[in-house]
Amino acid sequence: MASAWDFEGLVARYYEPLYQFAFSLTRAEADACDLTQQTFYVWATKGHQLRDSDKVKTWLFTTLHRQFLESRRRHTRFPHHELESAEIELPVVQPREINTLDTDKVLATLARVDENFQAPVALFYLQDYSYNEIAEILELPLGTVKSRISRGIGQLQAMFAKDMPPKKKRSEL
Amino acid sequence: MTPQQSKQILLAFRPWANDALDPEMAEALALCRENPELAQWLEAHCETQAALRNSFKKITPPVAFKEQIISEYNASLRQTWWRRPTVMATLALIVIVVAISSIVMPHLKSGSKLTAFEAFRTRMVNSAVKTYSMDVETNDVAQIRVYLAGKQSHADYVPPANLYEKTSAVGCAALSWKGKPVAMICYKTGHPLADGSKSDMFLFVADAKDVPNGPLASTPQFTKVGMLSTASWGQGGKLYLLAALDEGELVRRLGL
Repeated sequence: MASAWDFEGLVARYYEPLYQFAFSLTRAEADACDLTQQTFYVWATKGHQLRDSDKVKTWLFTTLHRQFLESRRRHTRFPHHELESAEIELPVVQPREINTLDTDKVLATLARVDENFQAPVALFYLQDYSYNEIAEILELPLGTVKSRISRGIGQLQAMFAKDMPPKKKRSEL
Repeated sequence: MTPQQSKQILLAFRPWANDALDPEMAEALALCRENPELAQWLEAHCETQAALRNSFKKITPPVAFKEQIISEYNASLRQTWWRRPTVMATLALIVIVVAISSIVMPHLKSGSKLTAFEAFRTRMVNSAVKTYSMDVETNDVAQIRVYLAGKQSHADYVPPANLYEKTSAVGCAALSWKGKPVAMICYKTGHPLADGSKSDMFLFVADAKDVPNGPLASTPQFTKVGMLSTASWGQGGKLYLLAALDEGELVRRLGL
């Protein structure tokens, strides 16, 4: 079924969103390229095992995320967090302040967010996936994904607020 | 649902996606419509979300990255062509065929293998055609017998009754087959000889017991071996093999 995809067509359609996801995880062009290429290589060797052609995109993102986790495991061990017991940080940042940030700054801030939150948050912003689809891609329970997205966004926005200079009141101008 | 709970839920709300269809989100959004302060917060939050999404969307792959992926894929295909399923299947088939052949072929070979007599006949005919040389060249049959006797070969051979009709002996050689003596007596039938040839008919004599599967009956069996016709028969415990170019010649010599 999946073999109905020709390789070049598949690459043309998905290389950009996959690269964006990879880059948001690694924040390094070379690493993001490696992850994306490796994902397509895995597709070329194992993609024929996929029965449902509607799942191609999800399969690619799942594969990329697995590759990322494997590469991370080789370098470091993740600290374990009790996610469900953590407090959700509420955002205190203003949108116009966010607009002043470039992509590098946003991704640098994402890098400071708990590692377990980064992939769900990246998929949350990059794609129009439903929470169910994000859960499928990351191979996590739906509740865990929702929780990680909320906490990740909370951490991210809290960091922006902390990094931004305090907004001056009109009387101070 | 309190405003604080609503905010926590709506943290993960994306205005650009179908998140509003989620029942929990829908309830939180409904609360926003009733609470102006909450609605203001949601508006600001949605703007922030959109700005963040915009930042993520600005990530762009390197120039010609797509072409690089395709190019490296094609290169890897060339390197690993033998790993393709069709090639692997073909290789597997070859291995299976070779394995089966190694089991079956020995039996086939043994089925088609020459019998001892057939091997003897072929070897003797080849001796006559390719490599023969006479140890003694003489038309004196007595001398031939003396020579063969001296070599512990078959000096007591009995030639066919009509063999010497218009035919003369020209010599002999003491050959062997698997270590057993074989006498070769060479004749000239009177037909023109090929250049370099001294004879055109050959009689081979061996002990019947030294050549298993050979004919035991005195009635000749005719077989073409290469360019020569042969007649073979058994007589007095000996195996006789007469070879000549022409089968008709053999028939005549044998008085058939």
